[in-house]
Amino acid sequence: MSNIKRIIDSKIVGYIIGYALAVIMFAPILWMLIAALKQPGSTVTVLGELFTTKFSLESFKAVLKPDGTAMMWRWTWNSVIVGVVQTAITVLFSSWAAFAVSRIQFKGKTFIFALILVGMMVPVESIVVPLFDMITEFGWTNSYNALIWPGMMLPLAFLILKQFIDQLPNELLEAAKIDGANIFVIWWKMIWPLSKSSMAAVSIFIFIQSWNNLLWPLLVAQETSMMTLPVGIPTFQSIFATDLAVPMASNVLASIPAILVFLLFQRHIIKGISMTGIK
Amino acid sequence: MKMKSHIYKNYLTALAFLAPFMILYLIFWIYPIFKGFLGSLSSGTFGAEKTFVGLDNYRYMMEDEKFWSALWNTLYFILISTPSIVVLGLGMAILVNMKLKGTTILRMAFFMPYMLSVSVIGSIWVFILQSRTGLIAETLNSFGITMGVSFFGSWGMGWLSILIATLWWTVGFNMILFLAGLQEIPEDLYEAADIDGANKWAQFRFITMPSLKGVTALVILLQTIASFKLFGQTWLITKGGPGTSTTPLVHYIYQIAFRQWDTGYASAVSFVLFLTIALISLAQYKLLMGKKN
Amino acid sequence: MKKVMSHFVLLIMVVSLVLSGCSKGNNSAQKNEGASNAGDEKTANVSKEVIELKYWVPFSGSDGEYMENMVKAFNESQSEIKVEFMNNNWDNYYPKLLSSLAANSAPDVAVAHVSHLAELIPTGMIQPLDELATEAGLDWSTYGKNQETSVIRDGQHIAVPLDTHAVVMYYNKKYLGDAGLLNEDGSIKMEPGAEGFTKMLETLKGSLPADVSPLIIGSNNVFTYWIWYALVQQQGGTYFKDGQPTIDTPEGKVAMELIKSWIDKGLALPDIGDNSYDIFKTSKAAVTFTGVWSTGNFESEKSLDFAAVPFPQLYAQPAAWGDSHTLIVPKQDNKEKQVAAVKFADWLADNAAMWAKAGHVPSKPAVLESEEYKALPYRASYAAVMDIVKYMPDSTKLSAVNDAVLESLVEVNYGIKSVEEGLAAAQKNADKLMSK
Repeated sequence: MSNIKRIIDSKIVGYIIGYALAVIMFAPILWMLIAALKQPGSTVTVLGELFTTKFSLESFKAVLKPDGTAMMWRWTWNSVIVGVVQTAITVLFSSWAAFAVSRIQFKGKTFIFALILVGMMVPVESIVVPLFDMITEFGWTNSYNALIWPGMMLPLAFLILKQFIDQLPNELLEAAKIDGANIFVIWWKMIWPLSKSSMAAVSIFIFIQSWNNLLWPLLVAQETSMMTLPVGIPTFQSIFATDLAVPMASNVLASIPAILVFLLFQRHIIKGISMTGIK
Repeated sequence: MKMKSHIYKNYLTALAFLAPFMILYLIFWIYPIFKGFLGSLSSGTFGAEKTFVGLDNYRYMMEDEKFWSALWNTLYFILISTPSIVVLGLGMAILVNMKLKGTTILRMAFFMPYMLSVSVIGSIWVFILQSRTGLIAETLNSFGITMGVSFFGSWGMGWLSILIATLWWTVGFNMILFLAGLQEIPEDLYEAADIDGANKWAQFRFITMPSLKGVTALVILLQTIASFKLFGQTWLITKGGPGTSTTPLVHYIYQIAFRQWDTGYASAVSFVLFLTIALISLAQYKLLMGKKN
Repeated sequence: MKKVMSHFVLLIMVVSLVLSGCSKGNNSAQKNEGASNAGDEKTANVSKEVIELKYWVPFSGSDGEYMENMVKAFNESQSEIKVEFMNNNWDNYYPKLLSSLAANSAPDVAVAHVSHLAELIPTGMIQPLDELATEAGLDWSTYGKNQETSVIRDGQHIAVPLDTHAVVMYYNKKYLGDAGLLNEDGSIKMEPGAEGFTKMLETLKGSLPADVSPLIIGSNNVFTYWIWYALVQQQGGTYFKDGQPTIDTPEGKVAMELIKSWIDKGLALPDIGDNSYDIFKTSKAAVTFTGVWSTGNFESEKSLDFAAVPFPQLYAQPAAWGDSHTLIVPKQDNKEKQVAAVKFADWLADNAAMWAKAGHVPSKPAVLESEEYKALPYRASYAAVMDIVKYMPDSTKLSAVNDAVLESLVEVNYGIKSVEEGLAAAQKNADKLMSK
């Protein structure tokens, strides 16, 4: 009896703390949504008045107005393009490399592996200065090339995918080899389909990182039309200094794709993050 | 003979599989490290001719108070953010793992902020915390209370604000890591402990905590590295101020390179940042491996 | 060699993409890049008929809207040149402009403060304008003499001056009137000097509602630095002397102690971040020192009854912080665009009566004499400030030194450092920056 009672007790405490925390965590997002639904210039910082004033879509209209200073659609598009291309290339290239290191015997393998491990320890932040110099020399400033190629999370994707490929049973690949399949066919027929789900998980993880990247695009996207969302959004705060509703509307618009991705791929995202933790 | 040709053939195929990755990797990761190191031995600015100055930039760094304060700020942020993210992340993971009703909602609420862009996070927290016109200040004001503290007004409060925003943003990520760790603990361990009459605390202390050692080490490692890379939050929320109070290393590198136009010195500070992170991850990696074996 | 390398890198990437039998994401991305390239070619073709100019400005305050309207008016006024306007956050403007100059991706024409020209010149990307000016039909003698000479470097004009702007004093007439601090003519009734001014603020404090501050100064932004600079100049002090910064001086201490004393006595609000405009605009402060570009912003608030006057003289001689917006033309191969850029710049200066609506003082005497300018309220009352403006020194390290000084002054504002410590630190950091 007392055992059951204890469990119930601890669950009640769990409910209280859990939901209190959930409210705290969700409140800023809710506030952002409500503030964005107010007329530009209206007071959104007094909690008591939040529900008494009129709701409208005017702030969203102000954000989406194509007037040369703010280009929400374009920024979203840039973010999506950069994110998708970076993710696809990172995952594909890493998968090949991981397969090679994991399953092929070749000279210098340890060296290659060590070289990639070094990359895990290099934060992109510590090489932005030489990278910026390179991009300048290439004449790539204000281009997708500049936004996409540097700073891809290659080592991380490589390590995660290698861990997965390492786990595949040898017999599977041996059997395919005996059937006379060459190594490219083995990758295409075995590794690719088998690692699809872990690739999806890694993809989403990398996409989120790319989506959130601020420092690098801030440096190379000087033209408004080449900005990504994280670079573009802060410009609303200075352009509409007196107002909170309009910047909040831009925040909401910028968040919708991320929130949609989250709702659709929740399971994959969580799996992707968990995988970085599996040793 | 046969053996040899086999290896040769594999060497080529390995090359084919590795080439795309390695080309990108060498150009955009390895080459910049060397270029950055060479740059740190010279003085000059973007686009201009650089002159070799030996270790001058490093000597300058030793005497640069702002460098030391940026380094200390970064270390301080690691000190405050790591324990709080471990405790909060683990706490949330336990809550989500308790099989409460509405666990999906809890998990969603805890994790959702992580999906938002750092710029959105920055702007939300500026609007919440800023003095006089922020959500907290004006709401208190409407009840006739004047907010006595200024969230961006001092070194301590500035870092507290950055901490709050960072926790809110990234705790969900760490929660998922802990959750994965929790779910790997076999149920029967707890069942056996229940039969032995161990209470919840004892179970947590002697089953959960030891099992989560690996995950905790990982969270600490990731948070340490993330703290070294801190830029967006300070750049957006406190702008590094007041004065230099909330300027961490990467923020300072940005200022040196893109406000003072001193690429040589910026490269030198970057290189120190790189070495520090490399050493820390190496040490923690060794520690982790040592414990495992 | 570098070009070859970049092409090589690109080639490998394209090949590897094609070989990869790419996923859907890749395909659409490539298409998009192709599409945007095609778009560029198209504009290049069109530009043979209409010259398109990219134009960058740092007007994140309300003056951005006025400039945008001027660009619209210019585009409508003729059909050969089309200017594409891009506004930037003031804080990050120079990092961006400089890196774009260094990266050879600069706009065709851009606004630059005269005080920042010295930093931009070393990029070697600033086009001397005399030859272009002749082709564009720009007559330098139509500009004010001071402003025209301020843009000459090595005997060549390197920029087109657009305006002069300064930090001036705005005050809320209703609050000062209620406190009995206004003379018949609407000017402030106060005794001369720093003490007289402080006393006036104290009298104000006595009569103001509790939630209204007598004075407001941006405490965590560049305004603190500008006001400190003006007060130093009023005492006959220097900022740079013989090319070296002079920050930790008796004059510097006196100036910063005065600013800090206003905060300590509750006469000025501490910790207001970047909000000083809003606080004055919404009648939550009685007096503010801020840039002339706020005039347009304050005017738009109907409930605000204010006056604008030159920065008050608190010490031995009148002085105010000021600067000048100029237009620079980056070097590029397309000379047609450069000539068009100079034409555009001259047009802006000619039509600066529109620009004066934002609060700035136009650079052409003819504009200052025009009926259109004279009809504008407020502007005339502070136009005199232009005679007392003390420009900042020419130095390639000016931004870096200003940043260092500002950091220390803000730390004094926030009580993190004492006045002595703050100025000593600023001096030390400035010296270090200069030593590089």
